[in-house]
Amino acid sequence: MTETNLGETGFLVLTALAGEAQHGYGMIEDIRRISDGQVRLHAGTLYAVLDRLRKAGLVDVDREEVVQSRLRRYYRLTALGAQRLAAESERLRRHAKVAHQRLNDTRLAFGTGTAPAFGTGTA
Amino acid sequence: MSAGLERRYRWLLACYPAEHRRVYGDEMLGVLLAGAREKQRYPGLHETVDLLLTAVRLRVRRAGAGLRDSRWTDAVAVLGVLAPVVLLAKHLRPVTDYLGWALRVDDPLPFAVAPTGWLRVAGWAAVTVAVLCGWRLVAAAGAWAGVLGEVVVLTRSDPTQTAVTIPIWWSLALALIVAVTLSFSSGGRGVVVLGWRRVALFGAAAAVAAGTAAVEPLLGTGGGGGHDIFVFALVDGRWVRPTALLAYAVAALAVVVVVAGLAPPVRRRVLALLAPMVTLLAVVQLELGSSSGGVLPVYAGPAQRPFMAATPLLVLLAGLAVLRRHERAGQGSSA
Repeated sequence: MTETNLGETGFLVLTALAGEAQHGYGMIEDIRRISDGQVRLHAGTLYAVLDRLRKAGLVDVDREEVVQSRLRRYYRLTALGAQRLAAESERLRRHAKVAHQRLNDTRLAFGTGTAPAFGTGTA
Repeated sequence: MSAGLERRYRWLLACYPAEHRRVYGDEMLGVLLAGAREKQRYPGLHETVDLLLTAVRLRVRRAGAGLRDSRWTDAVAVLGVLAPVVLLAKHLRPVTDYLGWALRVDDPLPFAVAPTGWLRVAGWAAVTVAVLCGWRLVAAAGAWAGVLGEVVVLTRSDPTQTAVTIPIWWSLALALIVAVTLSFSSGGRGVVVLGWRRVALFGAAAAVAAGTAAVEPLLGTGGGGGHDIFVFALVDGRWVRPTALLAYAVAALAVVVVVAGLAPPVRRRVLALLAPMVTLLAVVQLELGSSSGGVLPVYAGPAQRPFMAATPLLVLLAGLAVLRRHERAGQGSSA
């Protein structure tokens, strides 16, 4: 998978799995928490993304359970997935840092008040 | 949650490709039911839209992957060579008909090939030459110009825009297929797959098919005199029909030889892609076009147009389904 193909949804799925192996419904709920309720994934999108990430070797099946006579499959991040998530996080952090820095400069230039402490590099 | 909700989710999941359903179907159903409210009976609007859109996206992606399959690319490349030749032959028929009459009748003819007719012949001849030379972009540009030309003719053929002349519809559909196949096939690949001998044989078959238009003026009896168009309608002769049928049979045999010589997976795909056009032509010639007797322009009314549009599409889908089933059965028996 090329870097441009990860997308926000893929990034969030990898982030959800970075903590622990999770099943589909668990990931939907976790992603809602991670995004402060901004991203509400539906099953169709989730499993299309999971399929893509699995084929790219970024996630894999951890274990399977049968709960109330239904298959429940847990997914985990692979080593490649962890590496890719770290790289993507770093890329986004760099972009966010530049964005914050420029916003600070703009506010100072327009004299719109004291700029918040953006772009400290600690994200 | 109700059994009805589960059933409705299953209907939505049925829209997904079989492979995706096999791997994720049960899990997805479990997630959908886990997210349902206590007495929910119908899938929510957002999740319905999400399920349907994702299903369509996956199917389109799979179709795209299928078209990158070398068997499909070869079939499309072959079609990119054969179809322009068919169009050239089709547009040559009025010309050969005219030339036949010109040879038969000494007086000036009371009709002529329309300028658009000459333009079509020149255009598709240029596209055919470009295809044979492997100039894909030139050929594709020419084919798209041909499509545009047919659209212009179509819109100008009926000022009220309530009817469509059927032969133009057929030409337009085939021109569109040529333009699309040439836009996506690799230059020169079709000739490589077919081989020059088969290309030449197909060209000869097309020439024979185009030449049959001259059989009636050349071999018919009772014609003559160029001042009255009705004289031509009276032309008949015992050799006309058998000769034309023989010529068509020879051309058809040559086409069968050309197609039969292809590798079976490519041949099956070529046939699946050709089937809609052959069906549309058969509908035009046998059913809708029969009312005019081939003399007057035939119009497709509002009721006929959806039928004409749907028939090739259904034949294409049926052909793809048969192809898939055939190849799965082949894989199953060889496993």
